[in-house]
Amino acid sequence: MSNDVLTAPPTRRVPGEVGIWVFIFGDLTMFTLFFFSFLYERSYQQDVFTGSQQHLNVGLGSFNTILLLTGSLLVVNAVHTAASRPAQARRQLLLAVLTGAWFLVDKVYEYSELTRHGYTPATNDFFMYYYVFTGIHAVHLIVGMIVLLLARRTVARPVRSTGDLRFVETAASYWHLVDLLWIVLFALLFVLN
Amino acid sequence: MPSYSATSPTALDPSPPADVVPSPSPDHESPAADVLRSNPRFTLLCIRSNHVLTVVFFLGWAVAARFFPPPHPSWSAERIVAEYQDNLTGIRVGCALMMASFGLWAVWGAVVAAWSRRADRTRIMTYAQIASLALSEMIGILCAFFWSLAAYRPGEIAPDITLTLNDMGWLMFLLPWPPFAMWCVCVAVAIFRDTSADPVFPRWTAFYSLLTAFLYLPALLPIFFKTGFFGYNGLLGMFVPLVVFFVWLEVITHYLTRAAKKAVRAQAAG
Repeated sequence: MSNDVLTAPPTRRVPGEVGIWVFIFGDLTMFTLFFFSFLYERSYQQDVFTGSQQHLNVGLGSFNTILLLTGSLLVVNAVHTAASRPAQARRQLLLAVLTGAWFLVDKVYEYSELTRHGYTPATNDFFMYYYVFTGIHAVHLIVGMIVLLLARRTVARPVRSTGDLRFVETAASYWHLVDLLWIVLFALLFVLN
Repeated sequence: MPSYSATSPTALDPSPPADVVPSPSPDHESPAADVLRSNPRFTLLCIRSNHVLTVVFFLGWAVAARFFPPPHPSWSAERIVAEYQDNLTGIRVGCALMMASFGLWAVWGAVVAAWSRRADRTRIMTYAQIASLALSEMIGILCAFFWSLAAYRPGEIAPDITLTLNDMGWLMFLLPWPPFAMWCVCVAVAIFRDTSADPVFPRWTAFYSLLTAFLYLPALLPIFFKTGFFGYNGLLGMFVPLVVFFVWLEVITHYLTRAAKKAVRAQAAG
């Protein structure tokens, strides 16, 4: 195995395994359909959409975005230290999971605030999309947290195989998908006007 | 398999490379070979029945019953009654075709379950698959049954009853998505657990099965919305879950067919 990047033969490799990229591609396609239906509906009800958007908590949404980005940075670090410094990788994965948990707590607060002021999924089409999209994203996030915890357990093994490290990368790729989806959702729901 | 390169020092982790062992390599022949070897021609027939059944289902659903495009959840009871009366025979015949196709899918599902019985040595996934498959078939039969019932005496009874039966058919089509998702998840887990040297299914099909299970999720939304994309006639609430189901069936069938054909050739060779 050559450590010299310049003379080693090029190897075709995707991060994690091919399967997770099939998953990511499929999920992104689904969310693209979501986004286009949102934009389609919005073109017919621009006033309703921009008016309803005012009631969202942009500060909290921004903070949530930063939380998930921090989680992604921690995950990137964990992937790189999984082989050589597993204890650190485990700590970083746990912290990433905690950013996800904090995100969910913020979401619960956001939902309860909105419903307290009378804005439910039945209020209008904007809120229908808001609740459905962020709800489906939250399900993805919970799965992401479980997957990261599994990766953490894998890293804890006394000897890690190449398959184990590949699993950690696969888990990391899924987490980045969750992050990416939120960034687009944030832009569409909170910022676009 | 390309070597894992994260053991080289990188900017993020300048520590010296750690010892990483290679993954254990598969050393035994695919246990699925047994399943397919015993009677490969018959098994191939069972696998190919999927194509016929998909065609029969769509002949019933789309061509005879004309359920594409679907009725609108916000239509009045009288409008729904009129829709049924306009195509009475078509809907009745279409539902019969749908019920037949869903019933016969058991044979195809059994091949997948038989394969996973050998792939997953603890057999839990096999049993869960059989249960999910049976439930999925029943759900399919029930929605065609409710549509048949709606087409039994439209106009002779109160329109609200016909409306309700129509709703029952469409919501039964979508809301009970969990057994379908469980079916996909069980197949995915069995594929992941298959450590044979020449597996029937490549690992990415397991991820694809998990994706399919995920994509059923919007099918829980039609109960909340009578207009828009999440209603029982919606692109996201109905069409996507419907399409991904049949695509998944084709993906699984493709690899089963490949393995069964190989077994047929091996048997013919001696």
